[in-house]
Amino acid sequence: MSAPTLELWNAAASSPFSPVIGKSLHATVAFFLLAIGAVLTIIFSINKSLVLAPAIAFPASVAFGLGSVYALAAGGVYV
Amino acid sequence: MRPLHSRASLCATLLLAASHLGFSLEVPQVYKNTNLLRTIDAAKGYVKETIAVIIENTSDKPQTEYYLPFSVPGSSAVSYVECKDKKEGTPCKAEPVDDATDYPLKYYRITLPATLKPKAQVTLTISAGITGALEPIPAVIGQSDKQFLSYTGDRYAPSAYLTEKQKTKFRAANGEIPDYTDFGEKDVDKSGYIITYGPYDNIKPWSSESKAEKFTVRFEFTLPVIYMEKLERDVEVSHWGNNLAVEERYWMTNNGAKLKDQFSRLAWATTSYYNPPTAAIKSLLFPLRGGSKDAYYTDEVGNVSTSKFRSDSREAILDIKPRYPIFGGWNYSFIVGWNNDLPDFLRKGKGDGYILKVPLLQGPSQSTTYGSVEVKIILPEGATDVTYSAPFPVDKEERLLHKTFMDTLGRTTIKLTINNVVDDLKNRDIIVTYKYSTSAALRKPLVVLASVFGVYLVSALLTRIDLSIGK
Repeated sequence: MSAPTLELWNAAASSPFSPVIGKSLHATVAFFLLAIGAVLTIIFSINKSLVLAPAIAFPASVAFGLGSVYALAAGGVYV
Repeated sequence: MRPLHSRASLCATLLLAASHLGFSLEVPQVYKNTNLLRTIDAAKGYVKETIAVIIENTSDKPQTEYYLPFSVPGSSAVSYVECKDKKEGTPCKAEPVDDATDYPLKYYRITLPATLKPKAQVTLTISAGITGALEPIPAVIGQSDKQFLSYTGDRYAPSAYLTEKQKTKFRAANGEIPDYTDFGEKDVDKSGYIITYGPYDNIKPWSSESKAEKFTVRFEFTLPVIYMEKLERDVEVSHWGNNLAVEERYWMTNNGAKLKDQFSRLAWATTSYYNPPTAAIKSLLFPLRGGSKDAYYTDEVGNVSTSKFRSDSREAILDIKPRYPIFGGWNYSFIVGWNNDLPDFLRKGKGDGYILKVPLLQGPSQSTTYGSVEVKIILPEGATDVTYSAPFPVDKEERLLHKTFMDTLGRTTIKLTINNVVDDLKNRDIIVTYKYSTSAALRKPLVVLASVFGVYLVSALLTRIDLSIGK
């Protein structure tokens, strides 16, 4: 692999890194995702049906997964 | 297999040793220096030597390589050498020659920007940073005494070729120059803070038989001689956090004249009202890139509150004041860090490719030399195909995995070690390219997702186990 050059950097001038969510929204997004996760956990705990359980657990896990990443970022731990 | 391998390595070692024993640098006499002007700048805590030389090819063949020695006796050493064609501004390559037979000379091989035809001339500007060449004399001073540094160098600029005409200019830090060598030949001129030796005509190439004529200049130096024995600099890229985090850990020493008696806090507090020049390190100013934020300054005790941080989109300045003034021979270690928004430093390349451009070295605005600098570029976990181009030669490169919060495998990291660095080389950017796929980016939330989902499943099953005592 050849060493990168300044020309490569200049050529990419029109495409700076664009994050999915900006820094200012980390805390808000994390709060909502973790809140959704918490609500779904409550629903999960009172749910009696075994068939419905994964259907509640999966979105809750997604909310906790993304929520925890953004919660850390909001707290200054940039993972 | 093993004995053969060890025999081969033994032969290689012996050959290497033999080549070192028998080898003496034979520089072909294919040039003459028509005119040479050497400027030795000691305004900082180290020496910057600039040589402007007109060279002429005296052979009948075209030439591309020119040899230039620097005199580095004792503990002094060459930090960097840079060269360019003075008229065109084209840079030329300068690399050290692995030869120590002509002590104290350290030779550099300069590849000319263009082939030099017979009888043709070219003007080169070669600049070098030399550390350890300034010595405090007296070596021990009182708390409010003036500090003087002394430089000893060659009367004639060392050269591998005949020099028809040459001159040396020594630029001191200020006009207070109590001592300088006068050879009594009306070849010395002092004007303000500049001392000129020469012009000298037809100086022969340097040889081991050359009569070593030295000049010494002792001048006042009102600033501390800041030396960072070690600097560890971490640059951490976070795509999820949209952040570039920089942390620098310094082990600092003042290499100026040592403090004579015990430190008097009373005398220090009294004099600080009229702010006289001092040889102690009172504060350090870190000019950072615009948009830097969340700066912190800590040391072994904890947070140090005596710091100021101003930041806007154009520039940011972190002004720190150590817990105590650092006098000559005293040490202090501290940590500074700050964050930046990632889009200022990272661009998207083709496909999954990314291009990162960050300064390899930043550091304080005061003149500083570094014993060893270790820069870690910590890329996101799962980044692959990492390439980089450093703005100046790197002594050692390591690839490793750096483990921190929420990591499973560890973050792809390149660690670059550079020894003997001067602050002339700061604020030059390193360019790093890497590939980072979406699947690698999703690793962190997926790990949490999987573990939380596992907990749900286990709890769903456990709550359905009938643990009641049968009726």
